[in-house]
Amino acid sequence: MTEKFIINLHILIPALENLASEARQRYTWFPNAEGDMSSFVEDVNGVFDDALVTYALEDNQIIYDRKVTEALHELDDAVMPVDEFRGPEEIINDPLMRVVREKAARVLELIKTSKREGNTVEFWHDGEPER
Amino acid sequence: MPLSAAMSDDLQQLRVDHAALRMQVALLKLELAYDRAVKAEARAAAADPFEEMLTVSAGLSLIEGVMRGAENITQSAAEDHLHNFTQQMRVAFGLHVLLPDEPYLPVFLKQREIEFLTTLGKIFDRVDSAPWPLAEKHFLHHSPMRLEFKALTPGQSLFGQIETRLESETLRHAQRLSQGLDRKRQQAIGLRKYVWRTRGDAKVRTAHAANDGKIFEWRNPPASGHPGDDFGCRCRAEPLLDGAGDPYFEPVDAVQVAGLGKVIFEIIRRVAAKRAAREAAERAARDAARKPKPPPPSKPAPGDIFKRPKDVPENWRQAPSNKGEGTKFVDPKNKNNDVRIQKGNPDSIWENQRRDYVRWQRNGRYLDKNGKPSVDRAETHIPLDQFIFKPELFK
Repeated sequence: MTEKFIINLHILIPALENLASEARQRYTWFPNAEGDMSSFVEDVNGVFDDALVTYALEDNQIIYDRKVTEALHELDDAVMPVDEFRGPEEIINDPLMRVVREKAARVLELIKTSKREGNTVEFWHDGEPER
Repeated sequence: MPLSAAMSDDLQQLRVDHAALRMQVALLKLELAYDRAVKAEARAAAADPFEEMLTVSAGLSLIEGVMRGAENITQSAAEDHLHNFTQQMRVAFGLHVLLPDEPYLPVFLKQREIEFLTTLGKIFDRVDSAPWPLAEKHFLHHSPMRLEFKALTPGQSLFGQIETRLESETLRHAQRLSQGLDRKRQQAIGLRKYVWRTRGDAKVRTAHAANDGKIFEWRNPPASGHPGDDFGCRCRAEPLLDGAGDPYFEPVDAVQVAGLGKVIFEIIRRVAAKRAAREAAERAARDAARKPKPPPPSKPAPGDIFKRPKDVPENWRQAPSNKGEGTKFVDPKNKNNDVRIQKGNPDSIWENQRRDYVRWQRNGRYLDKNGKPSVDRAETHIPLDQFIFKPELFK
């Protein structure tokens, strides 16, 4: 039986939003009123490990559509050279993060307008298949 | 194979043809304007102020045609250079490098364009007679470029007088532009050195032939100056990356960077270094598999940083996490069940991320240390020494 690849949207979208915005990074990567706690490592692992994007990409699955899939590959390339073992301020100010923010914002923008042409994965939200 | 040889001859030829085509268009515009101006001149002989205005208009139209032609040729040559440059980078480093952010480019191109226009003006200046003195005067008063245009002898062939010179000046302009952009773009991505390449024909001057194949630094030019500094020089600077002979600088994944020319080189370095580390680990693993008694690795492979926590099923697949030196254990039947252990970051702002911690999921929902689904991020970052796996949750 062909394996069905799942993408956890409730993890993917917030993690992408954090990676796409310096303002979000300054909020969630530092102590804040809502206790919304994250970091560069957690947001990257949120997208690629916990939302299960890596498995789908490695298996050449189409996530939403080809443009979104390509943009996720580019985001994966962009996060690779960023040194994560630093404080949040230093990571945010790293010029490489400008690239990461641009790539993540691009993914979000493409997701918003995607018509899911050619999509081969199943989207889940909060432990349930998307309805 | 030298890069200069690797550069496509077809592309080079295309660039020359393209520039020549645009020059022909400019020439046609010149001729049309010239004809109109000659007729206007004849009518202006009647000293009709209106006809005089027409003469001025025709002269300006001609000059504007030349200016547009110069601008088109300059833009076209710059676009061709960008194409050739990215080809060069791909051949040299196996990388697709985009240079969308070039703040120096508009000023640089405008300077070159003005130089080209000035040269064109001098060509026209050498042609005798001045049938459009008003046009010239008008232009000199209104143009910041002060293009001297003393026009042509009525009835004399425009092409016959200036075609040869115009062609050679156009090609020389495209050549100088490419040489200048070699320097700008190589330095913009952090390349410090280049290899001097001549055209290798009999026209190469002795001093430049002596430089052929030698490596020079951009900040420390040879006595002859950089390629293109001497008048009429046709030599080129071939990009050179420090460590280009290193096997890990062989083709790697495409790296596309928008808006950050200055950091591209750093990305290349880091990507190459990480690739090298990964390949070294893979080689070590392959060697280890072949040898009956492998030596113990000095450092664990990325996916083996953490041992399998007690009670995590043996069939859960072990792999490195995407970022931050971590190990994850994944349920082969349902990838939404996993345990991810991350190395602590002493510089983290969060106390529970400064030491090694665990995040685990059941059906894609994060769990607290008691195995209950939770959206509280603090609760779902569990210190490794407090983590107890509960196999009953996954039955």
